[in-house]
Amino acid sequence: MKNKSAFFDRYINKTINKALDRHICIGITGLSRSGKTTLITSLINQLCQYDTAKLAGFPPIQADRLLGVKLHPLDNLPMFPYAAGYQKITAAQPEWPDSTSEISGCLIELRLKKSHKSLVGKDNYSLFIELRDYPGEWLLDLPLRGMSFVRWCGLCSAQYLHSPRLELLGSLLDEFKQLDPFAPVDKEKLQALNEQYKQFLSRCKNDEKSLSLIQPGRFLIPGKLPDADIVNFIPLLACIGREESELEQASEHSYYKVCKRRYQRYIKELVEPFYSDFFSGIDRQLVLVDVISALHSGPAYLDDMRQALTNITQSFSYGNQSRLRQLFSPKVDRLIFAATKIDLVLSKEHEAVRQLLSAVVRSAYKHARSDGISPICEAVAAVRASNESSRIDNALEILTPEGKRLGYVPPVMPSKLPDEKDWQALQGWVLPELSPPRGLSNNSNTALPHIRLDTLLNELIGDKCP
Amino acid sequence: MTQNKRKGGFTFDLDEADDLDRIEGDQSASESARQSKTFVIDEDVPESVPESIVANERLPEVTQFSLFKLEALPLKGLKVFFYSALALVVVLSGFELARAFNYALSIHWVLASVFGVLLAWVALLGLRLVYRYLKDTENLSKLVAMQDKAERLLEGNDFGQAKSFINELRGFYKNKPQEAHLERCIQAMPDYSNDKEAINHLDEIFLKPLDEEATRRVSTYAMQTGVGVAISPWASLDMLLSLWRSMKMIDDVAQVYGVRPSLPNRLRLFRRVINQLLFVGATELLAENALAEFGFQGITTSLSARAGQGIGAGFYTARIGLAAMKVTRPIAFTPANKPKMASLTREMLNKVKGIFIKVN
Repeated sequence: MKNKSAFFDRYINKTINKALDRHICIGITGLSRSGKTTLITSLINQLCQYDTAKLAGFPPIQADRLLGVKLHPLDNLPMFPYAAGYQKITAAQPEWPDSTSEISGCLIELRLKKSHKSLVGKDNYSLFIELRDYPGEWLLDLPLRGMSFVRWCGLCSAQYLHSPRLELLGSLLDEFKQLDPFAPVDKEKLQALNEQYKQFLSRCKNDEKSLSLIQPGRFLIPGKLPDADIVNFIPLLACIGREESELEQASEHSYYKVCKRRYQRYIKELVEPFYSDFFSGIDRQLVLVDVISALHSGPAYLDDMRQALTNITQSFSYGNQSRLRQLFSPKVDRLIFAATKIDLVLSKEHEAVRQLLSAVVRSAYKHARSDGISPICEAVAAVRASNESSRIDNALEILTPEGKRLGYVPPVMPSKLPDEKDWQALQGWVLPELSPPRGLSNNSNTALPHIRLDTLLNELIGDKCP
Repeated sequence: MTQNKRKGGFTFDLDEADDLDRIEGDQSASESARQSKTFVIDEDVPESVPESIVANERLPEVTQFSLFKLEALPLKGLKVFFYSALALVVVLSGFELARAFNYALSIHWVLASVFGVLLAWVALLGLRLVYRYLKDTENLSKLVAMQDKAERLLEGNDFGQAKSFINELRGFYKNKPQEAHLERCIQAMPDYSNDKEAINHLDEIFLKPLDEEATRRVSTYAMQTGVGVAISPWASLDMLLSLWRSMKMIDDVAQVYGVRPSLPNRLRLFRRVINQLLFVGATELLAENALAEFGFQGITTSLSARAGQGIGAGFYTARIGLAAMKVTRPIAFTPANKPKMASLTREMLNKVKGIFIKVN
């Protein structure tokens, strides 16, 4: 009972703050491995250490108007493991935060001084920022909402005909194709195929080059499941070319009916709640894109990522609207794409990557622009882990996860979608893995070095700090 | 420029000094494309924590001027002032009305009740208008949604979504003269087609004849405006004439693609056309250079200034017509099937030229 009233109180507070424009919910969306957790950790760190952080592009800090920062838990979610992540980055043997396997969140309270004295009201106020973290794999489930089982099968079959999925799938493709959707279900066989299918999906992701468009995401990172059956289905490729009405004639225990039921449960019990809890209320969206890895992997991977991004942005509604309507049916009124891990690129070529990013996200862009907002593109690094070499031209000094110091010469970054010639120039590119920089002290007083997080902050919340 | 020729993407060992030379030597040798590599670096290079790069910097303490931008400071309180003034007007008129009512009551209650009934009637009518305006999203918003959807379908190689698009199209053209034509087109659609092919089929079979009709209408209006402006002696009349013809044309073109000419639709349509003209089409204008296509200068020098004005106005009308077509077509034009300015203005040019050559 007490719990409930506390929840209610929070809800009221939130609504009041929202109405006053003092509460914003930022949706950080990013495919897996795009660096969501590190970015959130670094953002919190920059804000908490605001007196030592370098945030020249964030006006409240420049004008000394930020008075304090506090972290609160968010709703009923587990607290975002900020301390753990920060410790890992600043340890003597620095490491990146663990990849996310469960949802978490936090509420940042910024205590700010108003830039102009107002006639009424107090001069100090609080701005609340909601941040949530989740496994990036799940994001790609969002396009499945409103997609029928047959259509999903159709999409799968279209994907599997092309490299690199064709090779990754191997003999499983024929097995899928031969499975008669009308045949009565053989539980063990389905289980086995499902296992193989999961292995295929994890190959798609964990092979040396990683694909982006991997559905369904819970097959990789299940999270909390009501029961195991919910992720025990496979795409029935033999459905293609048959009318849906014909398939509906199948018996209740056929492969088609069983898989369809489980697919529908998957959407209803996992995807829909995830969407409504995490994304339906966001005011601003930050989409993290690991352009550099995709570029390194090659044309098919870059294209795959582009497709994945387009699919995701279709799940959100964008547009400007009055504050009253924003209160009850929020729309994303600012959309920011950020190319992450930009510290792998020479600083003079950051701008080229930014332009490349805007070319990559153009289709997602177009959709958003038609709703009256124009997206912003940035190139950032949550934690800057490289130094530009002073002795050798065009080289970066880096630290590998094994603790070895290396020099690295990055290739010339294209500033538009690469054509045949550009791809050839990128041949033989060895992309090293970076570890966070050594020498950051652990006494929780240092701000992490970053690249343009201040610009990002300004674009996310700058206009809400009057 | 030399940096474009660098070969890159490698790491290297800084331990060995001669290695270093080789690397530097490498770079001057193969400037064409930086080869990426990694190498081990010298131990005596001190290890340092990287510094943050903040907004407008290329490196710490190195300004990047190309990234400078300032945020506009809004004029504070404009909105509040506007709303307060509006509230004042509402309160005042309410007060005035109440006073008028009281005054009527002081004369006779019949007068007051007549006044009251009148007031209620007007208020009712107003409310009904507002309601109707808000409710009438019948056409244009549906059209915009369809345009978005078609664009998405054309981008991917999806399967099976075209059906819902076709159903929307059917709903949109229900009870409109285009309906029969659309049905014929859907019947003729091959059943194996994926989404992209289905949209292309609709584009080719259903929309192409509509495009031709719209082009014909725009061309006629451009001709009328061009000739009208060319022969009219008063500049202010010219403006009125072309404005009136343009509005009429937008209406006419919209009807070809099935947008009903209701007031809300017209207003929204007009806004979208202006938006298209000002922002979307501006870049195309430069590329198009339709005037050069016809040797515009050749025409104006050989004919009088008034003919030049007429041709200019005709061209502008045709541009508005093209914008209206773009805004109302359910599937966006592709570069291949976009109507050419030349085909929209040919008739107008010939007419205007004809008039002045005859006169001369």
